[in-house]
Amino acid sequence: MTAKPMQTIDFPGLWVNAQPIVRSLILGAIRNLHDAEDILQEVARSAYTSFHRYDPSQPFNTWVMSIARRRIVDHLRSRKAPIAALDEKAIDSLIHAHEKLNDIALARRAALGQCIEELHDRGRTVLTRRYVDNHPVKDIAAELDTSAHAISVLLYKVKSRLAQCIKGKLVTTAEDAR
Amino acid sequence: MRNLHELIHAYQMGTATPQQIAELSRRIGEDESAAREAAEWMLMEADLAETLQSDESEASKGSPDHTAGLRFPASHLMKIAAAFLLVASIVTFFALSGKQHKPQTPELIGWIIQPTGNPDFEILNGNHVRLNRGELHVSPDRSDLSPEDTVPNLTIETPQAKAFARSAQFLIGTHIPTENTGVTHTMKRLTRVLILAGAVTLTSSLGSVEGATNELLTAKADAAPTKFTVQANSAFAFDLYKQLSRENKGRNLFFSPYSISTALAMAGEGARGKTAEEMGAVLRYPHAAGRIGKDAQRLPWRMSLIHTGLANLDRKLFNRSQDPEQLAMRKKLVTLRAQLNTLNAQIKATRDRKIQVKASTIAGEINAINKKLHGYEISLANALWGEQTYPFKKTYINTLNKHYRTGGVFAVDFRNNYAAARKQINDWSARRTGGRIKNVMPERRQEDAKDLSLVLTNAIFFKADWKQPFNKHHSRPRPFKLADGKTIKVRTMHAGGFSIGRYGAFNADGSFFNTPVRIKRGQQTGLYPDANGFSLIELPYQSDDISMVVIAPNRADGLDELEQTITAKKLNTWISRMKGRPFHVYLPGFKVESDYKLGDHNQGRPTGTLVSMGMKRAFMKPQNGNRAESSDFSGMSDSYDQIYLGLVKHKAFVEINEKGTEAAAVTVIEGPVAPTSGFPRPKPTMVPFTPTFNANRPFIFLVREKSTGTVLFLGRIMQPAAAN
Repeated sequence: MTAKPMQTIDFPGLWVNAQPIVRSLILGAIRNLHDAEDILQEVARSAYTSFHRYDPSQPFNTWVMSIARRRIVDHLRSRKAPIAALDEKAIDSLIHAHEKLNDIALARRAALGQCIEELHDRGRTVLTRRYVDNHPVKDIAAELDTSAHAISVLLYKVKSRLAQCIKGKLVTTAEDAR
Repeated sequence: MRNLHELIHAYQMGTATPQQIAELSRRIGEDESAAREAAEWMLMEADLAETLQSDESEASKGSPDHTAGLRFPASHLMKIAAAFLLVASIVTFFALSGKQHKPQTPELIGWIIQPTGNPDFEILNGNHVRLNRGELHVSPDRSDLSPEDTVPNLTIETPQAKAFARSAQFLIGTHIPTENTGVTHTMKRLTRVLILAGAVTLTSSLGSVEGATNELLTAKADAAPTKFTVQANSAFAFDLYKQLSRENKGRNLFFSPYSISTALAMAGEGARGKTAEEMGAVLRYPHAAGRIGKDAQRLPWRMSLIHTGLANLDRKLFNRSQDPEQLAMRKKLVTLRAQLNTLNAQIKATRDRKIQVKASTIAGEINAINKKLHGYEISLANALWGEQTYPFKKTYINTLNKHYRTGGVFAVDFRNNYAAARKQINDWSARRTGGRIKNVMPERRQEDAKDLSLVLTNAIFFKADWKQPFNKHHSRPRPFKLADGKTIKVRTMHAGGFSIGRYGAFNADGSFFNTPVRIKRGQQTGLYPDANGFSLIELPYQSDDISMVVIAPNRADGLDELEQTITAKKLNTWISRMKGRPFHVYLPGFKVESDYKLGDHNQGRPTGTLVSMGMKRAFMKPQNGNRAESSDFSGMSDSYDQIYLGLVKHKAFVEINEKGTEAAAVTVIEGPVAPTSGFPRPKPTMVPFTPTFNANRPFIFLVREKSTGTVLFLGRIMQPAAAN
């Protein structure tokens, strides 16, 4: 280990800040949660072991995103990845977009929390089953006595509503801040 | 933008077509605003689980504390971390100075924890943490310890596992895996430890895994290594079956995939680099068993996971048979049977009443013991035979001994006395298989054996009675239609109204065919799938754990097509769809002996089944120490004279008869006749329908442990022995 003691303390703090954005990028590109978590861990490891090469004049998130990009591309090129996936140009655009979202990531999460509270019960139930309990769509459909297609459509509508709600709350917050 | 969201949603749900994914890529790649929309949507998706769980935690706990569901900006998290450091320092100071300081809440001693994301964790005492959900970064903190103090061990407990660390830096988290077993709706999580520096041991209910710098350890509550091993073994079993089928067209097949997987895992422990990579790929080791980090090229697989999984399976499958009480009962049974035989001979000669009474008492004892026995014998044995002058690595020998109970290494003299070593190994094989597998080591001239340094052996033996035996009087020669259309007569067993098994019929595409329970009297249609379909039956043995599954296509020449499509996953699905219902069964009794050369060095041009499946490098002999294109088993020894695989051979034996199944036994079987003989027809218009499973054409069979799905033996019958 060649890093100075101070840097090893700095790294966790920087990683704590960057992790949500990096996780979102990897999960968005890879889709499979299991693989995405593996890659996220690998990015953490790579960033840590090469932290002595990090140039503090460059934003940490940009630096760690470049590591994430390599890992994502490697995975998508490997035989373990599904055949059809986002291409490298799309991934680069997503990285650029995620970097710009970094400053408001936590505000977005806080807004998401408020928007979820405003959802109707059925919407919350379906979201909880899908994203917390990790049930397949067909199991949720069976539980709610409906079709898998209906659940997929409901999930889309609920997420669209949340996306609009988040935007609305961020606009309100920005206006309040002026 | 609505269309873009629909595309992203379909992509995330896995329902997007390749064209839609290409469209999504194009829009995100070319349009900055589309990329931003996509990123916002993905960020929302990524946050959903954490946010929903935080809301639930807050609701259930009432008042928030420092662990549950509070969301702080990063700067606040840093302040919490700093506060921990300060408090930990104070506590440590007072503890070391001997003052009476009793902190209100426990603080870690010698460690720093920093939350990543929004974890739910609790510090139980100075070196014990409970992590319920989320991720922590953990590192040692020597700032408050004197130089001679060692950093105390740390235990982090999650719902699935415990991590033990000493002076290590690591990330530990509990995450939700994507797969859902579908059996229960209980939330499934797994624990991961990414070791940044030092060493950590992760222990779950199914074993321990040790890891070092740059390793990722995983523990799941319900499966851990055992499930990975079963999945890998099953996938490999069918890959091997298909390859052997191609190489042995029109011939009977029989082998034990479990035995082959185990032996190759023992060799794999010594493999490095590309050799190890190829072996693991052919053996279908899962992605989760892959290593990451800079050592991954040299050591691509976490073999400890595979070894632990196999050892767990061994314990589950074979320990029952090794149970001391069971072994004692079997030994007594042998003695009693011998006594009974002697007494029966005396009764025939003398008709002495007292001897008859004594024989009856012994027979009663035998029956009582039989009831207590598990009803099957199954055993597995492994051994490592090493050239006495060859310097094996102690770590290699110890690892094999720990997981496979090889008992160290049997030192033999291959270089000067191959014949004696051959006899020793062949005798060992015969003893471990009830005398059924003999001469597994080939004859060789001493000159050709002088380079031999290592032999790995695995022997498996299975013997079990049917839970519902076939009546011998119902067995007779019946027609058996071969794949080429010819018909021969084979001795076929028959059971009408077999009531304790399971039956399932399937269409050509593998979809379930709903066999009717009741039909109209005289109905001839809709009873079975069409000519391209197939049927399965499950015949249980005395033990509830193990059964035989037989798969017969409806057409005599249909096995070829079925073999192209069958996989372990599909088979498990078909098996799960089978129903317990009465059925008539016609099944040839048969015996198969097989001998396969699975891999051969072949003087520098490797051949064999495993080579054809992609395991070539293991059989490439290093030339002049150059390992660039050859095998690498440097994990076995540090010697310059490196081991490579010269030969992989597999001999198997099976016999199936009216009583049951044995890996070694001989029986002749006759061919099947028209069904329903002897089964009464009820009078009402709607009559019950009992389907008939008639294996009078080529079929596949396997012996399987039910709770894990482990395939112990797999084979096919193209042509049973003709009846005289």
